[in-house]
Amino acid sequence: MSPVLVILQKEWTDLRRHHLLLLSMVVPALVFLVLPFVLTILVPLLDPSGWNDRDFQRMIELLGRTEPELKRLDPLVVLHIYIFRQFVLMLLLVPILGALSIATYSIVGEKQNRTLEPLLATPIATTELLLGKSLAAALPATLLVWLTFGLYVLGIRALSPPDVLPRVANPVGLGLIFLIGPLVAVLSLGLGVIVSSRAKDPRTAQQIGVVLILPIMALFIMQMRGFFLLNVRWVLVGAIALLGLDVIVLKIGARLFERETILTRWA
Amino acid sequence: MIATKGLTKAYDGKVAVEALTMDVRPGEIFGLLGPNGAGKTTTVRMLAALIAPTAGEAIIGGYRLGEQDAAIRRIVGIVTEAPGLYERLSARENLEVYARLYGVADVARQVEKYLRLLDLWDRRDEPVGTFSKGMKQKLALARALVHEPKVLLLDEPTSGLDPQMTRVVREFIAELRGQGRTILLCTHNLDEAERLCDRILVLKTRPIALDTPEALHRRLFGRRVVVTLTEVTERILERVRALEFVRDLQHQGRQLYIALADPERENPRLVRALVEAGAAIQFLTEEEHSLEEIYLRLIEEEAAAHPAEAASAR
Repeated sequence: MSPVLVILQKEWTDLRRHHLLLLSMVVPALVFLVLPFVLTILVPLLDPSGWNDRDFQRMIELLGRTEPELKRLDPLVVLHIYIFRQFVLMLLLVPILGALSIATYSIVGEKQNRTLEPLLATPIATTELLLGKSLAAALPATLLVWLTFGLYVLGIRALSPPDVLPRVANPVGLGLIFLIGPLVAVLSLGLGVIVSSRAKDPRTAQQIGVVLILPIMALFIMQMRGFFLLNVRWVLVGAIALLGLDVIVLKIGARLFERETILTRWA
Repeated sequence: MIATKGLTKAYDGKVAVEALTMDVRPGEIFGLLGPNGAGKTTTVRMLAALIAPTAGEAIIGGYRLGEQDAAIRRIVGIVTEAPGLYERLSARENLEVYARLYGVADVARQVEKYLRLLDLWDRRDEPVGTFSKGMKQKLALARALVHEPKVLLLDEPTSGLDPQMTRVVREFIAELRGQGRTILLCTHNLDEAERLCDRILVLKTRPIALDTPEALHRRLFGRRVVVTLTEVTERILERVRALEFVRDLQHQGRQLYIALADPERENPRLVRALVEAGAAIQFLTEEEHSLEEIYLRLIEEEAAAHPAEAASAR
């Protein structure tokens, strides 16, 4: 069995038994999955004229410029489209938080438990070790967001008007989940590796790594206020930029992930 | 099996190990003895190809350090000071991970062999987090052996264990000697070194002394016999001093401490002279010094030779 697979298998066996870590990944996914459905029910109930809100009107106007057919739809349908599109962005926090949690636990946890030294004494190459750990963090985080999005789509199909789903699971939504999702997971784990080299416990590492949430939140707010609307071009530009960032962050991580550096310089 | 020449390691200009030259023979248990911060762990890490030496060279099992590190890692097993086990994984899973990383052909058989040998088989499927410290240390030993390494590096293997478990681990290490493995035992436990090691190297950043415990004893203290008499008289003392082979004579109460070059040859003549001088001999034994005394003497001599370093270490 390849050393990468051995590490991957070991990490996943460990992860399966780390219920707190699993919960810390699953809970945000559940929240971001359920919350938009709750909002689509609550907003009209609490404020029957909620879709006359200024921000919402600005958003409708912006949407109408790029997608004129939305103007012909029922405002309630547009409200659903608006909310579900917003939360596709929020779903990107799932791979970020998931990859970050696993990566920081996997590295800082090993550092804390002093398991790295015997592991590094085996013939495994540090690149294989880093690859095994990276895949162990990025794959479940990515799969989790894909699974959440799958449930999201099923939920929209079951609970929303038929005009909603094609406008949420559109190229932008699919691009965000299937292209940007894995890329932010990789960025998150790369940052996790870098932060883990200095942090003394996984929680500190996660707190530092959470800076990645800020750009997503900024996009969410800008789009919510109608200042900005994500389109396919922006998704592609974002993907290219993320790819570049991923390469840089992974290179820094790989440089830090040398036997001697880990044993002698890591905090 | 392990040969080093001038092996040196410095971290940011601070020397951790300096000019270490040693030759560990195949099948030998070689003790690396020294106080905390003497460079024992750094030496183990260098020999395990975990960190690179700043200067000097080392050949382990025929492989050159720095050039054939992956090959060195394959033939070396290491027990680090902390067991470093995956606590959520079972004993068996822990060993399986390492057996696979070392490329062991029959993983299941090797894992079973060492779990049984170290009396852990009955708890093989329990999470390691539930194990006692002694059991974890035994599992760490099993992990170091699962790929049948030629060289075993043990860094404080009994540190923090209770006396019973310490004994179990020591007996196991002694058994390994019979299997032809070369063992480098890093310890500051003098009793452990004395019981287990064929030769010891006293290290305090630089090597201070290297030999068998007996040879170090002779080098530092010479050989003295202790003769217990019913009564010590001036006549007896004069007679002993007059013997040409007696190098030194001291007495305390009814005991004479007599330094000799070759006690096996000279003792009969000494006894005869004592009897002729009217001495009634109760006991005659060779004076023994514990490794602790030898070690402390060496460390004191080193401190006296390098007073500035000793002061900064304090």
